[in-house]
Amino acid sequence: MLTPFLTNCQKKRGFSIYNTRRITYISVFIAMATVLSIIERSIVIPGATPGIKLGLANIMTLLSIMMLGSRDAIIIVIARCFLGALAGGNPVSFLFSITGGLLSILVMVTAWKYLKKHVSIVSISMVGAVFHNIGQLLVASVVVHSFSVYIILPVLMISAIVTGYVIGIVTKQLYKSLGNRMI
Amino acid sequence: MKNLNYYILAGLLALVLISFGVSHLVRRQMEEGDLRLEIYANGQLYQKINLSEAASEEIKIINKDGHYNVVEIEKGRARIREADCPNQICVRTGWISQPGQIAVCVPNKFNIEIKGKSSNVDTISY
Repeated sequence: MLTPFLTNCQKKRGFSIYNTRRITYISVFIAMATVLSIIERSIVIPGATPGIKLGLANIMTLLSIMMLGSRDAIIIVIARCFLGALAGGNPVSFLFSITGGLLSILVMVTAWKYLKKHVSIVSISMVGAVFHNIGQLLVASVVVHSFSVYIILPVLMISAIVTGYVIGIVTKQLYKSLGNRMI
Repeated sequence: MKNLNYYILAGLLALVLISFGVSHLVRRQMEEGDLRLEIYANGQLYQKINLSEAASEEIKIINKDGHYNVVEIEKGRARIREADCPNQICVRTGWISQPGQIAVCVPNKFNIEIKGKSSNVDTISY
C-alpha cells in the first residue's frame, strides 16, 4: 500500500523529508491535475446553469490527500490553479479557481485529519465540492458587488453533491487499483 | 464513534435547504416594483430599463479596460448577445425574462438582472 511507506519515512526522518519518490509523486499529481482542469474547461454541458462542472481535478486532490498528506495536497492545489490559469485562463478565472480550490482543500484536509476513521472518501469529496462552489460564489458576489448571484446557490449545491459523489467513487476505485499494483 | 457518513450527508442536505432559503430571500427582495432590467457595470448601476414597455434595442457597454458587452433588449426579455470575454458564459446564458434571473460576465465585471413583479399573468378575475 501507499500510505505506510511515506508515513514511515516521515516518522523516521522528520516531517519535512522530500525524497525522490515523493517529489515525483507531487510533480506527476500536479501535471495530471492541470491536464484534468484544462480538459474540464473544454467540456460544456449545454443548457446547464453556468458554474456547474464535474470537478475532475478534485480526483487528484483527493488522491494526494490520501497518499501524500495535507501539506503536499495544498501545494498541489495551488500549483494546479496557477498552471491552469497560465494555460488559457485569465486573472479573474484564476481568482475563482484559487478561492474555491483553497476553501475546499482546507475543509477536506481538516475532515481527513480529524474524521479519517469515521468518514469515507466519498463524503469528503462531496463536502469539498460543496465548499468549492460556496467559495466561487463568494468571489462572484464580491466581484459584481451584488448578492443576486446567490440565486443559483441551491442548483449549484445539488449538482455539487451529485458530482462530488461520482468523483469520490472514482477516487476510491483509483486508490484501490493503485494499491493493488503496489505503485 | 460510529460511522459519520450519514451525518455528513444530512448536514449537506441541511446546507442545501438553507441555500434554498437564501435564494428565496434574494429573489423576494428583487420582486419589488415594475418588471425592469438593470444593467450593472463594475458593480454600479449603469442603466434601468422598463421591460414591459421596452422597444427592441441594443446597448453596447464598454468598460474602462476596453472590453465590451452587447445587451439586446426586446419586450419582456433581454440577453447578452455578444461579449469579448474568454469564457462566453454570459452569452450562453441566453434570454432572461423572469424576475431574479441574471446573466453575469465576471471577466468584464458586468451583469444584467431582471427585477420587479413578473408580468406573466395579464389579468386575474374572481
